[in-house]
Amino acid sequence: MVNINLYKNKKQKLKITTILFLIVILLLPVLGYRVTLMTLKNNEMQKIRATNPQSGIVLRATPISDYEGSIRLLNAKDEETKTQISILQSERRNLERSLVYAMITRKFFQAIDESYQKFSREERVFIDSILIERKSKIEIDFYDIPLKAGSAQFLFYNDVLRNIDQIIGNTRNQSQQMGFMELSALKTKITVDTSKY
Amino acid sequence: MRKVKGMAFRRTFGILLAIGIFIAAVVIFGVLPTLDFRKQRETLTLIAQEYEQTWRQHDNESNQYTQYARLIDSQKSEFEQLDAFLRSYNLKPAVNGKTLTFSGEVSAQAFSELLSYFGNAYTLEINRFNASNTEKMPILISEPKTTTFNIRNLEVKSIQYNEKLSKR
Repeated sequence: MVNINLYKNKKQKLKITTILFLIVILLLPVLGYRVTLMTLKNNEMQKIRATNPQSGIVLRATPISDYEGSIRLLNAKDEETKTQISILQSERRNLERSLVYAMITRKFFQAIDESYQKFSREERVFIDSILIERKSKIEIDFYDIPLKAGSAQFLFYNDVLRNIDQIIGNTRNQSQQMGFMELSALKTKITVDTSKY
Repeated sequence: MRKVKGMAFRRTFGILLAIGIFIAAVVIFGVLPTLDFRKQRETLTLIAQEYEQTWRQHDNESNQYTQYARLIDSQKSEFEQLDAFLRSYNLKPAVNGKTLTFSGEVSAQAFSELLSYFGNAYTLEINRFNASNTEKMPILISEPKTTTFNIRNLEVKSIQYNEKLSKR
């Protein structure tokens, strides 16, 4: 057998079409992977949106494959919501303080009214003064006079003091017993500290 | 011989070039985007979870605020009723927005009713109230007389909430 080279004198050259063809062949698997990656990215994004429904609602504004845009948008929304929370917390605390203060004054007058209703047959109560200063104090100055001669049991005073102290706390009292004709009278002042409200 | 060597060199060069292009393509179109994607996915998952928590906290705060707003709304007539009550005794309180101020002398009956009214008010903030009995002693023995109270500087404010923050 004799090997004969039929293209012995053929000039060897690399054709541009061959180069392009080879490049395309080489790039195909890579581009295929790229397409797979895009699909994977979209699926993952859908999964994230489904697992976090509120974020999903926010992310409707961005294309499904835009991760960077989604992160930026969600970060901005998160910051905005946190700012709203701090405003809400501050407003809620103010509202709570006001409602608690309104409750304190309500309970204060309720306690006086209830004790008065309980002991109005045994004792007479005469209010001398009432002073309310927000962020400071509530103060009532009154005379408690038992109607039974010689009695030194000041039922109204003891009851109202106990109730106010139980419900509100922070109470101070000053009292002074005095003779009033044949009766004993108690001149007393109850002060509730409301500086916290 | 030299021609054969030249051909072999070109062939090797061609193969190396092809492998180089392939590796570069894998790195540029495969590895880097994959790494980038993994990092972005982790970041997005974390920020999405954080936003869910933030949103829940916002929802809780908002619900609580709305509950307070409903409570205030349910008692919103208290302020107008106080104004009407004072006027029913021919007293003339000054009303500025949701703040009522009053100074003057009132009967013991009106004073007693006013205190009872305060004992049932849920949404009234009494900022100032200075009242004293006009009599020095509690009972005038010889002369039965209806006592009066001098109110100096009563200031009552109705509790207000921000409607924009309430889910209503």
